[in-house]
Amino acid sequence: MFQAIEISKTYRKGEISSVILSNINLEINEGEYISIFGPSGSGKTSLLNIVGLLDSPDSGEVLFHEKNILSLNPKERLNLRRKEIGYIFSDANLIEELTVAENVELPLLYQKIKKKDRQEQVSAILGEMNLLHKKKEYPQNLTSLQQQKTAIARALVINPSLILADEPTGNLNSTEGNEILDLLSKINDNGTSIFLFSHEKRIAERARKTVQLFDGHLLLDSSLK
Amino acid sequence: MEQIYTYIKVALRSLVKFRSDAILNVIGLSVGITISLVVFMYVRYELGYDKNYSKSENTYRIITTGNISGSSFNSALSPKPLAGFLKNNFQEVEVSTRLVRGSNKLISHGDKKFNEAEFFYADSSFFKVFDVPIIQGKPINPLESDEDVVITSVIAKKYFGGEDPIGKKIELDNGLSFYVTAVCEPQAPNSHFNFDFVASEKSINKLYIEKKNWLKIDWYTYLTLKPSVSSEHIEGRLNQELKKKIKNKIQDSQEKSAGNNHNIKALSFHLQPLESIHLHSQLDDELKTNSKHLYVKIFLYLAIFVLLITCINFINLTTARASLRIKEIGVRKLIGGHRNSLMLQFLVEAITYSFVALFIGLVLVELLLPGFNILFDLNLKLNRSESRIDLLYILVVTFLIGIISGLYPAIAFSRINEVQIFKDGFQPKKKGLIIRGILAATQVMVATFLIIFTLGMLWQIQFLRNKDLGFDSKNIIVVERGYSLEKKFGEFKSHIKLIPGVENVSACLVLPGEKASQESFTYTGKDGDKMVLMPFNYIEKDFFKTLGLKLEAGGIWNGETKKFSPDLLINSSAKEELGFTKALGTELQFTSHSKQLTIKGVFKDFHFEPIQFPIRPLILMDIPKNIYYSNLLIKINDADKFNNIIGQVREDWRAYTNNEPFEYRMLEDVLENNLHEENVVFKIIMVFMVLSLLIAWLGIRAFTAFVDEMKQKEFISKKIIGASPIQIFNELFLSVSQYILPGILLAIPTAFSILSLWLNGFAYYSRFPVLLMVAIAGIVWGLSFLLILLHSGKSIRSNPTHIS
Repeated sequence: MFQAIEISKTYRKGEISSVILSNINLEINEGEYISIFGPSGSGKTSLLNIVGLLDSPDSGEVLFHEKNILSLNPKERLNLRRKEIGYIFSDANLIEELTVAENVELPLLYQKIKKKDRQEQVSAILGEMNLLHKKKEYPQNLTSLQQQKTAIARALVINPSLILADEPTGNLNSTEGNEILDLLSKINDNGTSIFLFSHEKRIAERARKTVQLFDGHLLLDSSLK
Repeated sequence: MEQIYTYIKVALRSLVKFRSDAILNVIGLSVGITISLVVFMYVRYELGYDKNYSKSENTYRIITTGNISGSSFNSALSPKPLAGFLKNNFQEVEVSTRLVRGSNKLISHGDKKFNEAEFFYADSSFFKVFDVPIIQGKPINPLESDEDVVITSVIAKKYFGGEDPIGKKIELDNGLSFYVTAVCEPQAPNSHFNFDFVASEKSINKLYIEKKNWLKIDWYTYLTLKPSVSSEHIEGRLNQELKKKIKNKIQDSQEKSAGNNHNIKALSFHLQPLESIHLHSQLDDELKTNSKHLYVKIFLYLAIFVLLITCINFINLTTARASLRIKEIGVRKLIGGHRNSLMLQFLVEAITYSFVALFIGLVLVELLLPGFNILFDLNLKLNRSESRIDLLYILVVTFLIGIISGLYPAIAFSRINEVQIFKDGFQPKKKGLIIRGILAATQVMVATFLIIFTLGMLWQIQFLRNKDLGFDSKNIIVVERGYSLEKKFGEFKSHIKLIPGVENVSACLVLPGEKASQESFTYTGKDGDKMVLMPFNYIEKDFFKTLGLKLEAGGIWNGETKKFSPDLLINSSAKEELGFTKALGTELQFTSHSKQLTIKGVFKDFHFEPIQFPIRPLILMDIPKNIYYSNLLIKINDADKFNNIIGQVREDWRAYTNNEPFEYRMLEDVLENNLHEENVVFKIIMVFMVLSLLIAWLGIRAFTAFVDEMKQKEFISKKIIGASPIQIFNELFLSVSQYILPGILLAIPTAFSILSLWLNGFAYYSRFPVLLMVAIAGIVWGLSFLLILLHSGKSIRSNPTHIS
């Protein structure tokens, strides 16, 4: 489904340049759950930006559903992102002026889906997340766990083929973190592919497959389970 | 549509959430919108003058230019026969009319007596040109016979209450009486004259028979041209056809005056569009004081300037606070928000803000309008046709304000790269700093300039108020319409003098502080016979005692005899101008008097005209037998007895004038009223000063927020290495001051120059001390310090551990 072939990325600031990603090969198939694990500065965020179609590598190829992403114009990329990729961050990044339901509804609004369908989809996903009773609340009135679950609902509401989760438990305690990781496993069980980015080995190990990133190089490619 | 609804929802919620910034933004826009609404109402009112008649576009007033006694004149008046001449000789003229203002003020119906200023005589075509709706009585030709009068509905109510006014009689104090033939609606307030009564001009023949005199220029003539007739063409033909007729009259007149220079040398007539009178006509004998097109332009530019500044402040404040919105922008982009939809969101947000501001603006307009009308002597109302602003117009302007305010933030925010947001956070770029700084400096400069200018004006007004006038204006009661006493003045005076507390009683034709009339005379000087035009006034012999005036030489005529005294007095300026070494005993021959008059005294100069003008030469003389004093002067020496004195004077007045209305003013009020225009301009400038201060506050606030935001990382780093909050604040204050301080300082020479220009219009002035200007600049800088302190919370409070 997604394939990165020999991708490299270098950042330049004045005369200084630093290699962030070096000849990375990465692949995820439908229904797979892969974690990318590495310390701070290893290139995780840069890789996430490329995988999430937010950024392009300096060299190499990126294929999504066998289509070369690099040949797409920004609008085509945006359309692909809107329909295929869901994002989850350590911070829920909810819009504080919108209610829980409105936050979840937002990606559907951008896709110009009819109001009735939107409401049905939002109610269904909030039901799954056990947040239906909170749908009229504003994010600041929710617990951290509820906020993160709302963010997951927002990522899932478009029914994406790929979920990108960047340190999804970063702002939660271990119990809450475990609940989110369980939820991700359940989402994966339902057939959605997941890339999990984390600096914690314990969390990365919850994925079916772990890839280690260090100083922009892939060190390990292993199936743990 | 749904997206827009969501954006409006978000905008309103963020308005509540970011209250302090949002309130400032909305206040700024409200101020801009309020000013623009009021100015646009004012402009509409001013541009709508005399447009309420069905043929106003083709209607013209005929004005006269010419030369009398060597000096040129431009008058709104024209000769009486002109209207008839036009009607009879020009096929292109659809209708013409003439009118004149009645000089008698007292009008009565039964027991009801009122002084009326807006009484006009007009010919029967008046209502064909000024077709105000007739609501009762004879709609066609209501001024047919010589006793016909048309009154407005306001007058009908005043004199007749609920009774039917048609056919009712009104009487004038000149002996004429009229019967009401019709009641019309009052003219729109924005008309170059507003009549209360229009009576048939034929009635004047009962008072005196007026010969057809082309050289007597004392009527207002109007004509309506047929469609597509050029006014230039008519004007050319009119002057050509009248040339011979008038030339003969001029020759006759010159022969009659036997070589005297005091005569008309040339006359020509011009067609002045009715609709342009109010803003483009500053002639002699105007029916009302007109305004100037320049004022409309200045107000319009000021409104646009204020609107632009408020929009820019909105942009500044919104973009300076970008970091508060940055996460939302990132998320929206990440989950599929296209750049266009983000732009739309910020535009909708700005438009929502401007509509909220519009609502506040409309409330403010409704609240401020009465005060504004009093302040600027206007008659604006939100729901009146002559000043109302169309709803569509308001909506379009508000929408445009929203677009102008929101466009830059929309472009700037939507351009931010989401990767950048999540990777590096966001910090505004330095490149906008200089422009923003200059803008803030300009706003502070304008505010400082207006403070100095306002105080400079106040300084001058106070100087004029306190200036020695050369006479004592305190405790002098001026009784108006003195001519009602006719020949009984002497008796009345003796009676009034007996009232305890009355020190002196006198009278004059023109009040001190009012513009004097001029009279021409000939005299024999060093270089032979000369003719001179000079201000004069008729006074009663106790005028000097009553006003405390001082004689330099000679004395005043004896007032005991009832005969006209052939003596006159001149002031020192007149003595100087006429080049007399010994003035006393010199004889002057006035054109209005058959006998020569002799100079009996010379008095010290005093300000007999408004204080803005230099003291001119002045001649004072006894009043001729056929003329009566207009103003009685009563000097009281016991202010505590004022009410008692007024009560008794009123009683005596009624007894001597057969119950005519008693009207009085204090001389000090008359003199204060001469500063009316300066006071109005002062108030206007003061209003703009307050608004500019408000806008400058918003400007400083926005600029401080921007610098604060831009230097966040730097400040946090400095805090980590030990900078105290005060040091951080000092750095912020200096960063902001390096822009606004030059603005404040630049305001001093600007205000000095403009104040000097304004002061040039006065004969006497006092400059506002430069030291005080510097002090004001210092205070403004001090206030800026407080504002920056108030709005620098982020730098002082920020936690160094939050460095990113």
